[in-house]
Amino acid sequence: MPSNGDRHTRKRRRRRDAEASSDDEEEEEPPLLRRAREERQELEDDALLRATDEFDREVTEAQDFSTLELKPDHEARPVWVSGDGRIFLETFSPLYKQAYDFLVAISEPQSRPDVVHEYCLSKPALQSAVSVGLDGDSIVSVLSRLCKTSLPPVVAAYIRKHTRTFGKAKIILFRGKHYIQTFEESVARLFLNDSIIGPARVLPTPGSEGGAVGAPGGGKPPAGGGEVAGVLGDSTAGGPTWNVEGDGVTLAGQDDAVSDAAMVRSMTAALDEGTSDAAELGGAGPDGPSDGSAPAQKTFSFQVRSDAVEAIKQHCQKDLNYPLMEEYDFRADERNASIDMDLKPIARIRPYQEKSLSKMFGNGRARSGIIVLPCGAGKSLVGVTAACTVKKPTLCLCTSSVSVEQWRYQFALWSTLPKEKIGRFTAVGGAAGSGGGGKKDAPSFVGDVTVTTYHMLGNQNKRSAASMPVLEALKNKEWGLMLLDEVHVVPANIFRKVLMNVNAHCKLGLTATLLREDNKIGDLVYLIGPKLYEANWLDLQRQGYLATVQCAEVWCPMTAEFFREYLSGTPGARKLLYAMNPNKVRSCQFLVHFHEARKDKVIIFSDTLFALDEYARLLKRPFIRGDTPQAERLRILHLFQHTPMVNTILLSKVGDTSIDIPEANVLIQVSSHYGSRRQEAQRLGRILRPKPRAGQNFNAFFYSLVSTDTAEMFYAAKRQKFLTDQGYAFKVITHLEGLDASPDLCYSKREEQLELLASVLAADASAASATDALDEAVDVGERASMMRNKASMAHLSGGAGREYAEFVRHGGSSQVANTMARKVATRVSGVDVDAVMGRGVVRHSLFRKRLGK
Amino acid sequence: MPEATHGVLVTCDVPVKQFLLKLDNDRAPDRFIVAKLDETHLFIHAWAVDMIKDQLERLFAENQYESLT
Repeated sequence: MPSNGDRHTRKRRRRRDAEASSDDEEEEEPPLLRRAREERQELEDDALLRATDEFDREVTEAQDFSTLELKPDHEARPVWVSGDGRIFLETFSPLYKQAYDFLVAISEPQSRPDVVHEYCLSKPALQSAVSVGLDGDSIVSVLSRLCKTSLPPVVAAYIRKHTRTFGKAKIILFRGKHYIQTFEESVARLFLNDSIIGPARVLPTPGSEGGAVGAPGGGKPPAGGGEVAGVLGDSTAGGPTWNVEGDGVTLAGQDDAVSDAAMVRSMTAALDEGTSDAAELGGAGPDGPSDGSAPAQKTFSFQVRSDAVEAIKQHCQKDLNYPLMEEYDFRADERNASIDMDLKPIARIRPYQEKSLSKMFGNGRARSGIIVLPCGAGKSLVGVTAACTVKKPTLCLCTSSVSVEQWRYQFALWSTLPKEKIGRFTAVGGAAGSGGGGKKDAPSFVGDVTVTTYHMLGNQNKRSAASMPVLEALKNKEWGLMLLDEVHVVPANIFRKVLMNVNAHCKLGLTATLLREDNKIGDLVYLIGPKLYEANWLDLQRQGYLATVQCAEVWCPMTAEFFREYLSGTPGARKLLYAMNPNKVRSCQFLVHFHEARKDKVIIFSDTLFALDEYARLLKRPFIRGDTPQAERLRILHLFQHTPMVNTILLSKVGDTSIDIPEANVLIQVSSHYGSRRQEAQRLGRILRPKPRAGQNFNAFFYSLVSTDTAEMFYAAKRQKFLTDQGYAFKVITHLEGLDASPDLCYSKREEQLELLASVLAADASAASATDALDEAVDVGERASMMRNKASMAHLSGGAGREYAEFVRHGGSSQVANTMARKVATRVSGVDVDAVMGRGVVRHSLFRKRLGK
Repeated sequence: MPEATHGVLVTCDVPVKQFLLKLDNDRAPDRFIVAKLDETHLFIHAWAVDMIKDQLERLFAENQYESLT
């Protein structure tokens, strides 16, 4: 309960606020006064932010927010806001749902485990909040109402600062050319005088369509030559000055003077300053799709070079703090014929899919951005629905020719568009009619919806003559919507080429894991747009849209001989050694037996092909790797999916993305791609599709086998970071109960282990990695990060070893546990997995350290 | 005449023993291991204890992932 005094002050404050706002509405504050007030506020905010643009999030000892005053009724409020822009949300609060929706709108989720979520305020997030209709003041007021303490003033200043400038300028695509448009001349002036945007401006050539459009008399005092104000000119000077939006014709006569702005500029001395300068801006080029002339609303627009667009966007966002909005009013677009496509009635959109789309089409226009949904949560349906909403030509880009066909299938499945109208552009088929792609009857053609790969558009050089016309057709077409599948894998330079080649009004990126190991994820903001929506994995899991997964990290100690070789081995040999650790092989075999007995479907992943072959030989199970022929792949997958004959398959990294196996519910990871968090998440995605098996706490299992004391421990911890941030808990199994009791496992004798060691050492490490590289080529985006990690490998693996000081040894109780587990393991089916998983969990210095954060 | 050497008994796990053996090898002229007792026990010179602690500390740190956030 708030104390009496507190309630009074609040009431008073509210009244004061109300008065202030009514003042604004009724009296129409004089613009000068308002400007002065805003400037004062700005100055105050800047002083608060201490001229820094971003929060300093370095974790220091000095981060002490105990000075913030706790509100008397803090227990009812769900949120903590700390002075560094981080927000903590209690999920057990009754206000959780409302607060969650609000926080997701204004900030970026950092970590969302069970009880307390962490969010971060960020510029892009605040800006997308503004674009859905929130404004800075209301964000501040709602946040301070949710907050347990008084809102730190620096946070309020941050919010105001970054919401104020948003929406002032936008970038539009009009007839294949990019224009920057703004309603405020101060902004236009800022842009034109800028060292990056200014030179990128395209001066209209004589005879170019549209001609010069200015704006009406700028109402600025006469120019001081060359001064900033001068650029805007002076209406009283009478020259070719600003022109009302929409009647560009009136100044057509002055086209010549205007178009030669460069020359004009050189003659500024001779000419009337105001006039020439006005021409400079006034000659800025045609307007975007105008909505009729509105005398009160001045529009300033100018064309910029298409190849400079990205740099400009980045510059506006980062340095000028005037982010450019990218919106597409597809309903008003009459130049591009609408396509008759709708969702089929069978398509049912789930609530979270609807929510993500509502962020995109929030104000009736299509906004460019990225939607993040977990694997298996129906990203393609979101894409198809977006295309059906826009109803304009849609270009869909994905990573491989396999997914091209999958996307075409999805479009045919969910939308009313006939399959003949869904075009494709791939390398396999070649162009239609050329007869080049004889065997595979998959000619490339452009349809209303066209699906292609990033590489087809990005690679300029090696292109068969047959596909040239198709490429030209793609380039010349104006696309309403561009769908970008798996947008995180695309290297930025290929992506830039794609965007330069193809004109699209609106871009929608889809991904499950918006992260890269090379920190280039930030580039996507300039290339595509802000993150529009990110689903909460745990919520989807609770609602039954995703399988409930138990993640476990199984520790496999190195044997003495393997560790000795490991210590003196090269990085390549080390990789093989910790993948082939006999204890790991045994653990893997044990888990396979255990889960096959439960009638589970098991996938084993191994990045190392040598290990893949060895494991397959030992377990006598089929495997699929990069060079497995298509027919054999299909045969193996068919057996796995539809018969009880094959319950376990082994996959190399080709299985990470392009193979869809909804049946699998157990995943064992033997070796992996260094510390790639994305791979971990994607592999987990293989088993995330909801499972029919009900009645148990967990219906899917994700095991990561880790050789202790090796670099693998480092990588495993790093890989799990993303999933733990999504709220998954990794259970650490230091010892698989029942492992020693199983007599039929391989490598139980020392001689066998030594034999294995000999074969591992004999396997030429370089040859092994060469085959890995072959396999690698299947995956498009992987290579860049691969290079980076290789470089750090030497540094990371200088000598491995770590001691784990265990606080609880399995002493007395383990005897009991062992016998129990043996009983459990020998039971045939319906066994309780927790009996195996549950024991052997120890508190551990490693975890004290990790959890301590 | 029995010979007595002053030293320290080290109890460790299997991999760490391997690591100590390697360390001992690398310091070839002045080795610190007096006797290899069994899989998990070594008998070493007392002067090497601090050095071994240092080296182990470094190795633990290397395999430990510290999140940067």
